[in-house]
Amino acid sequence: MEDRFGIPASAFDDYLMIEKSRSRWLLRRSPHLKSMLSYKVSSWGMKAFQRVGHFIKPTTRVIQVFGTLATRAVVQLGKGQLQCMIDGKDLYIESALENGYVILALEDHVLGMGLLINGRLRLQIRKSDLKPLSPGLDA
Amino acid sequence: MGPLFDSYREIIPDFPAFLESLKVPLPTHLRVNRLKIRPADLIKILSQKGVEVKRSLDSDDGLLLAPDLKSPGSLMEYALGYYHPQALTSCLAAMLLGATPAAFVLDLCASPGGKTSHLAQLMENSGLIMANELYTRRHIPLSHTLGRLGVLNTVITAYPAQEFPLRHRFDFILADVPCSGEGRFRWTTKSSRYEERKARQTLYDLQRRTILRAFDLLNEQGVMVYATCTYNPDENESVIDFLLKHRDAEVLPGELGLAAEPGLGAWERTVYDRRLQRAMRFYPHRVDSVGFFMARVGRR
Repeated sequence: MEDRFGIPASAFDDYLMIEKSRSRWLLRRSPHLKSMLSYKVSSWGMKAFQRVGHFIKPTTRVIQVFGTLATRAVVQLGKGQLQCMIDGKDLYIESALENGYVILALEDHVLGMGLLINGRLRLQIRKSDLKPLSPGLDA
Repeated sequence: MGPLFDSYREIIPDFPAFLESLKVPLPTHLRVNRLKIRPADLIKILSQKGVEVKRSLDSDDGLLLAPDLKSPGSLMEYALGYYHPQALTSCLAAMLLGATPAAFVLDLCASPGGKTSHLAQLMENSGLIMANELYTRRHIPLSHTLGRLGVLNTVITAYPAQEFPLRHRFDFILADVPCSGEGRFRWTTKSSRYEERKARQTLYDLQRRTILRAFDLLNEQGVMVYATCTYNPDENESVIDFLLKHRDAEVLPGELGLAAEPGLGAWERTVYDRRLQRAMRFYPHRVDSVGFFMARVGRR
């Protein structure tokens, strides 16, 4: 997160990282946590990262929380560009960013993750979360 | 409207107004998620989109009424976790519990997570919440709600609430138990039907066993809230009365700044413990929201 997005490692000091299979979960540290060891727990905090091939991909949820701290690899989208991506089209952008995961933002709002490969930008947000993100949908 | 809820005619004040209120659809209430945004900022964003909101409570600027918002799940701000559509009375449970930051909290029947996430918000995402939900299929909406709202202090377990392991004690416990759900009923379409007092003895037994277990899991100074969204005294006062008879428990006063009726003194042939008057009943014609019962309980 620090290397790619400039999110300082210290942002996670108050959290415990729990690795389970290909996923990593983030849970706020608490003195009560040792009590948890005697229970059968089905999920710990927020699913924060997932291993995809050789990469560790942040989830939409964790990037919506910590993405505001990012200083690089952030792509600011216009409403038209976001709608285009929600409609399933890839977006081509001119960017000096290296290939890899990027944070997608609309104005001040961190939306989630995108994948940038040779200027082609693809949404990395679950379909179920896409519809409300449509900037054209008001009340 | 016929004999709908007719057996409650004597216990629900201004019964005709109560029946009239059931003809009106439930209004849309939003709880601002302070973990992600300040109420004033969300109100400004919504206003720019043409969504007018007003405060639901004088005492809390984070609970909003959005009278014209028919699909609160269709806005970008929903997907970003800036608010949660939640009945006003449902929000009162976490407020009545009064869980503090850094506390150890148990939510015994947590899915779909509205109240759990509200607890996390009131605790400023600190301490630890055990969100228990027996049915693992219900972990999906629970996880979705917690994730969307940016909750980071919660673990999920799947124990039967009435048999939750007695391994540790908690500072705060929310027992928002399975109930007949009468308080959610609105007579808004011709096909709206309600089978009055449909709850069966198995449900009453489950509620009694759950409240005993919740109380046994409570710290010496701990506080619990028992809540249902039903009017049925057999699921409300009778359960608290049962607890008072079987444990050294006390019904604690609570103040929410909203029109609440006191708990009942008697029902059919049963006279309840006088302390039940500190319990709260919320009716849709007094508070335009889901009907609820709540009692705040501690050790004597």
